[in-house]
Parts: sequence; structure tokens; C-alpha cells
Amino acid sequence: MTDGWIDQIREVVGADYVLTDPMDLLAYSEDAYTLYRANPRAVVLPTSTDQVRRVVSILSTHNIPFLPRGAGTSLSGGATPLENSVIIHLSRMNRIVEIDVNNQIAVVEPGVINQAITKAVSPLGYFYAPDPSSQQSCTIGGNFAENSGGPHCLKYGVTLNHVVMAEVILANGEKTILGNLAGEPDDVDWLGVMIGSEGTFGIATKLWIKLTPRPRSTETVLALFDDITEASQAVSDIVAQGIIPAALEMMDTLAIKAVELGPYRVGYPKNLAAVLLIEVDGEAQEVSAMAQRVQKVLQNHQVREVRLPSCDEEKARWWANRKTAFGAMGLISPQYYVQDGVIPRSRLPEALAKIRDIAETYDVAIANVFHAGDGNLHPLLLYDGHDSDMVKRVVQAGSDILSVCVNLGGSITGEHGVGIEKRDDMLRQFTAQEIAAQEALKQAFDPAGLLNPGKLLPSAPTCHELSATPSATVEPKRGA
Amino acid sequence: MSAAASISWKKEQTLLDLFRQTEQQGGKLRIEGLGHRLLIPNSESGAEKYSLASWDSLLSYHPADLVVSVEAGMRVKTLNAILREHDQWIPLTVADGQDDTLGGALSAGVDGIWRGGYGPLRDRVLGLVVVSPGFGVIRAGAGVVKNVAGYNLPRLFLGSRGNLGVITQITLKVSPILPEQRSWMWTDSPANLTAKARQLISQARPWAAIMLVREPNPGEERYKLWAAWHGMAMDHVVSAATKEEAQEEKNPPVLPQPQDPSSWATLKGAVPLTRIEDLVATWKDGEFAVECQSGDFFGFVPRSSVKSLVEWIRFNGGGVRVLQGSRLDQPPKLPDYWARLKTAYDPMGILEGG
Ligand SMILES: Cc1cc2nc3c(=O)[nH]c(=O)nc-3n(C[C@H](O)[C@H](O)[C@H](O)COP(=O)(O)OP(=O)(O)OC[C@H]3O[C@@H](n4cnc5c(N)ncnc54)[C@H](O)[C@@H]3O)c2cc1C
Repeated sequence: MTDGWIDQIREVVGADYVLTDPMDLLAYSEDAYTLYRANPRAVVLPTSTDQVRRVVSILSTHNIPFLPRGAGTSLSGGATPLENSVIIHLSRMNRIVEIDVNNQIAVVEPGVINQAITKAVSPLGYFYAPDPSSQQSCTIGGNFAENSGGPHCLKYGVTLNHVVMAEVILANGEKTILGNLAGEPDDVDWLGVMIGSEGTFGIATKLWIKLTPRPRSTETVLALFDDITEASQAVSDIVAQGIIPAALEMMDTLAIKAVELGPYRVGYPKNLAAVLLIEVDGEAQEVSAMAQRVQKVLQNHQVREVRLPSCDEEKARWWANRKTAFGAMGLISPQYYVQDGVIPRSRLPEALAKIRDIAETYDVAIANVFHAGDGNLHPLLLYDGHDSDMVKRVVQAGSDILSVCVNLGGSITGEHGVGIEKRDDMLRQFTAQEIAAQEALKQAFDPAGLLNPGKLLPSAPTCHELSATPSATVEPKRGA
Repeated sequence: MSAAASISWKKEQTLLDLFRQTEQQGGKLRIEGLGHRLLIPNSESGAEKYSLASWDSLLSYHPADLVVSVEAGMRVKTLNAILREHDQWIPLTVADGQDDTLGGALSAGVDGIWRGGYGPLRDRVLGLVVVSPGFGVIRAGAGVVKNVAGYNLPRLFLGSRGNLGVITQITLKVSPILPEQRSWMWTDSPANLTAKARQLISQARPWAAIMLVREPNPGEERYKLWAAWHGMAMDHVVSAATKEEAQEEKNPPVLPQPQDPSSWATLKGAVPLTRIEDLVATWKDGEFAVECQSGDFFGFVPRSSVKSLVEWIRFNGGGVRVLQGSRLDQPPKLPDYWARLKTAYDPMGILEGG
């Protein structure tokens, strides 16, 4: 029974763009958080703001839960439909509407792929700074919802710092504009509140994003270490010296093993404990001085070898090697589960030692590939989904890692969001009152609780069931 | 158990008691820091005043992590004196040269002359402790430089003037003080100075600040450009600056307070880069400063001109708020979600935004 709402939606977007066939829906039953899946009630593919507005109005009138979806690369289940929701898939809204070089702003639709923006503005001497490792496939709408980061966010900031204005459809179908071209709030920073709300406050239908002038000079340094503690102390020391690199990334032995099996081999020597990929940028004179200071710090930490790229292709290969590290885990393990805790960067040696202990305790292999300069850890817990005992151990080990982060004064998530995955972990970081204050914000934007239900807040219906094989579905909470 | 459950929040308890008292008396409460940025003076407000200026302790400082936590009444200059011992600072210098408490600056939405080179002040806020009648003592955000756990609650309290809750503690990202710093000043027409600013930006970037200032000068308008470079690219920058016939000037120009404050208001905001020159032409009376890399401005306007200037700025894609001296005749219409939030955070409506 659909009370006719589905026909109304077909009228808005065209029958071809409303998917209800179970085989089609299966493809939308999970995102990159593969420990959980649930089928949507339907998938709608609008092509304009007005269509999104009308679709949302119909759904909200019929009290039907819904959620926006970009490329489905969320690592926390943000784009997985709970409560039998309808997915509004924004892939057809993928136009770069305007590039305004004079104001250093691009106007883009939400389905534009992150990397496409930098590609489009690169000939003009600009780039779009937030660069998630998934940038070849993730959308700017998903980045907006997750407040995504990336290697270069150490110097340039995360999505929050690069969106100046947004056109948003609220849960009741109302269209609103948040922010302005100058990126200066008139009163409360509603735009800042909306960014990172994981698609639970509104659907972004157009974004005005900052373009950053390309730095005139860049130097990249690859540092090879025999001791992971020395490598992590070097990270802390570089920043403590007042040097803010554009990026400061780290991989450990197991991660190096995986990426060296992948398509972008660097040719690392065997038995390395860790590698640091460091980039400094700015004016030429300042960059060479900074690179020298970085190398001095590395020497103080018993670096085995420091490499500078011989050409741009080599540098590009180093970055491709790093940015495809998550995918490379598939070459050493059937599945992986990535964690995303944050710690103060000076506590890096301690945190990595604790993660090693956790790996031993639960007998789980853990590779580390992460944004070391931000203290944003990405332990990758390797597992085989057919081994249900192993899945349990992986989940428990992941949970213990988050406890380590919170106990060291950090956070349960630096960039992947809470989604379904960390709803219950929110209680590690926040008191009941603090959660209630966040619920009030959700209530304010979406009193009927229709937008992306069951995400982010622990008070949402608890249906976090893990499956050894990804097949669990959630019973619908609301009837159609 | 979450990390906060064991904290006693002794001091914050005094605010909760005050909320209760105010509620019982059917009154209103207005929180202030140094009182520089109040929309209307205390004499015109019927609310009870409570100053947080004595809540000024350093709570924790981790130079290696570039993170500091302070009580909200800590003054910017006091904090910078502490940070300087570790060659670090919070780049916040307001164009009128006044000191602020950090809580006051953040609640009022103040920013400073370094926004072009160091980014907006709000982007430095990692975490807050807030006391609200609806939720008691809550921590918003976290103490680390990256965090997306839960909603971005800190943003609710920045610029909302204590209407939803009282900021009592602040955790901020600090910046290293770069050892090499040079700055220059030029005096000329606004058109020539903005052209010079563009020239400087084309030679090197980002500058720590490039500030165009209109200063009082009886009988004629006088414009200055002050450009500061912090960093190591010195030869390059010095030649860029000296090519433009600059005079070295260490200190940024300071906008003097209007002589008769009762007829002036302070505006703060930003315009898109392509509107900077238009802003200079449109700002008919009063001293102001505009930062040429960010479009960020700060200045004084006769109260009678506030409405038209605010409208012009908004129409041209900018954002603006009145920092002091006047409420807008027609404030922007508040969205429904604001009303719902106010009811949740301050159910009895006792908090009056300063
Ligand atoms: C291999 C790999 C590497 C990754 N590396 C990084 C990294 O370095 N840094 C990082 O931050 N993340 C990273 N991620 C996570 C992920 O790519 C980001 O969270 C990304 O922003 C999600 O974008 P998406 O288009 O896939 O969104 P989806 O996964 O489709 O959706 C994510 C969330 O956004 C909401 N949403 C989507 N579109 C909109 C919209 N228009 N308006 C409002 N809400 C919307 C959805 O409802 C959902 O809650 C990585 C993921 C993978 C698989």
C-alpha cells in the first residue's frame, strides 16, 4: 500500500527515475560500512532542486522517512536506509553550475564528484582543498553531510571551512539558503550547524564552495622508519616546531605490505616499520626552508631513509599509493573494518602501542593508515565475514580502540561520522544531557523525525545488529 | 561512562543557581565579558547583568598539540602573553584595538584583522563548555583538532550572544608565531590602494593581513593600506613591497572610537572579494577597516545609516552583524528552528542576548 505517494513522485521525476524493483533496491542496501545492510522502500533520482523539494514535500506529507544519498562511500552507514526509508539519490544533480574565479567560488550541485571540482578549476590555478581519499568517487553533497576531511586538511581545513553557502531542502520540503557568498554568518552560523549533520537536517541541493589558489611551490618528503614509535614522535615534533605541513600521513608495516601489492607500488624496502608522507607548500623560499627543517626533525628520530621525488610522476605515485591504501586491504584480507578515532597528536606513540595490544588481545590483524598530523587514526581491522567469531572480535576490538581515543582526550570520529556504526559509542564521549542537547537540535530541524532516521544519536531505535555475512535487514518502523 | 561524568563543574553550578533565582523572580539575565560589544547598553536593558570577566583561568595548555583551554572570561591579550612563551598565539586583533574576553568575542561574533592570513576566529574553536537552563552543563565539540562526533553544537553558541546558553570554557587551536615578520604602510586613494593590494597578492600569498583603512582626518578622507607578511619568504616579499614604494610600519592602524558613541554603531562582517571597492565607496560616514584577502570588515557607522548599509551588504552577497550600539530595526526573520531551539535550551526565556 502506498497511498498513491509513489505515483505522485513518479509524476515529479518520471517513472524511470523511481526504483522499486527488489533487485535495484539491493544495490542501495548498504554503503561502504559493510557490517550492516537494510533495503530502502524505494529509490528516487531527481534532477533539480525543485524536484527534490516536491519529492520531499510528498514524503513528508505522507509521513514517510527518507534520506539523501551521494556515492554511498560513507564508512559509518550514513547512506544505509533504516526504518524502510526512501532514498533520494542525487547522482543526476551533478553539474558544476559556475566557476567564479574573481570571488574564488564554485557553484556546484550535490552529486558532483569531489575530484571533478579540482580537475575543472586546475587550469585556472585553483583547487578544492578537502581531498578525502575517496575523492575519485565521493560527492560534494556527501562531503557536506559528513564534514569530510582528507590528507591536505591538516593545513587547509575540512569541508566546514570551505563551504560558504548552501541551498537546502528542509525535512518539510521548505527551501532555504544558508550562509552567503562572503562566508560570514549574519547571526547564528546555521550553515556551520548543517555541515556534518549526516543528512539528518536537510538535503543540500546546491553548494557554493571556496576555491583555493594553488600554492606556487610544493615539496614532498617520504621518510622510511625502522621504529614506529620514532616515526610517531617525529610527527608530533614536526608540528611542535611550528611547522604546519600541507599533509602529514603515516602507514605502518601491514599497510605498507598491502599497498605494495596494489597498482601503485613505491618500492619500499622490506621490514619497514612505518613511512611518513609529508608535503609542505607555499612560496618557494619558504617551502625549501620548511622542507629542510622537516628533514632535520626526521634525522633526530633515527629515520632510515629520506626520499625526495625525482619527478612529478614519482610524487603522484606516492600519493596514489597512499590514497588507495584502504582498497589495497582487499589484497591481504577478504574484508576490513576501518576505525576513525582522534587523539591529541602528541599521544600518538601511546595510542599506537595500545592499538597493538588490542590487536594481540583479540587476535585481529590491524593495519594503520592515517592522517597523523591531525591525530586522526584509521586502524583497519582485517577480517573474514564468514567467520562469525572473528567478526565479533573485530567489532569488540574496534570499540576498544575508540575507548582508547576517548580516554586519551580525543574523539570517536574525526571524519567518517557516527552514522549507524558509532551511535552507541556516542555515549562514550557524551553525557546523557549532552546527547539530549543534540537531540533538541535534531528536533528543531526535523520535528517529525523523517530525515535519515536512526542515525547519529544513540537514542534512535537500536537496531544495530551485526551479521557475519552482510544480510541483516531492519524491520520497518513505519507503515507505508 | 563518558569522560565528563566525573567532572564536578563547581563554578558552573553558580550559574545554574543564578538561572533558578532569575526564573523565580520572573526576570531576565544578561551575560557579559568586558562589555565592549553590547548591542544596547546595560542602562537600556531591564535584565540582570552577570559578568564572566573574572572567570579567567588557564585550564590546560598543550603547546605540542597547539591546543589551549581557558575560561571564557580570559582576555585575548592575557592569553597571548601566556602563549608567547611558547612562540604561539591566537591571531585575534580587533581593528578598534580593544581587548575582549574570548567568551565575549565568540558570543558576539567578533573577528580580527588577521582573518585573511589565519582564517576566521570561529574556525579555531574546538570545544566549549556551555551552561544552559534547559540542559545544564554540557560540553560541545571536543579537545582535538578534528572531530565530527555528533552535531556541531559549538556553532550554535558562536554569534548567538548568550541567547541559548552561557559559554564558560573554550578550547582553541593556536598558531605558531612565525619568527620572521615584516609590515608596510601606504597612504593613497582607495582605488590606488586596492590596486596595490591586488598587486601584493599576485606576488605572494597568503599575507598575514592586507588591511585598507579609512581614518579620520578633518576636512578630508584619508586611506591607508597596511600589509603584514609572516613567514620565511622574505626576499621575495620585501622586493614585492618595496617595489610599491612602501614605508615599514610595525603596528597595524587602530580605528579610534567615535567621539560620541551614543550616535554610532559598530558593524562587523564580510563582503565577497569583488565587492570590496564598492563597500569602500558605499560606506559614507565613519572609520572602517577592510581586509583585502577575505573581504572581512569592521567599522563605525552613524546609527541612522545602519539599516541602509546592512541592506546593501546583504544584497551584495555579504554577511553583517551589528556588534555594538544598536539593534537592527528589522532583524533578519528568525527561522522556525530557532524558536524550537530557544524553547529547548532556555524554556523559561530567561537569557537575554547581550
Ligand atoms: C576508500 C575510502 C576512503 C575514504 N577516505 C576518506 C577520507 O580520507 N576522509 C573522509 O572524510 N572520508 C573518507 N571516506 C568516507 C566517505 O568517502 C566520505 O564520508 C564521503 O563524504 C561520503 O560521500 P558520498 O557521496 O559517498 O556520500 P554517501 O555515502 O552517499 O552519504 C554519506 C552521508 O551523506 C548524506 N548525504 C549525501 N548527499 C547529501 C546531500 N546532498 N545533502 C545532505 N546529506 C547528504 C547521506 O544521507 C549520508 O548520511 C572514505 C571512504 C572510502 C570508501
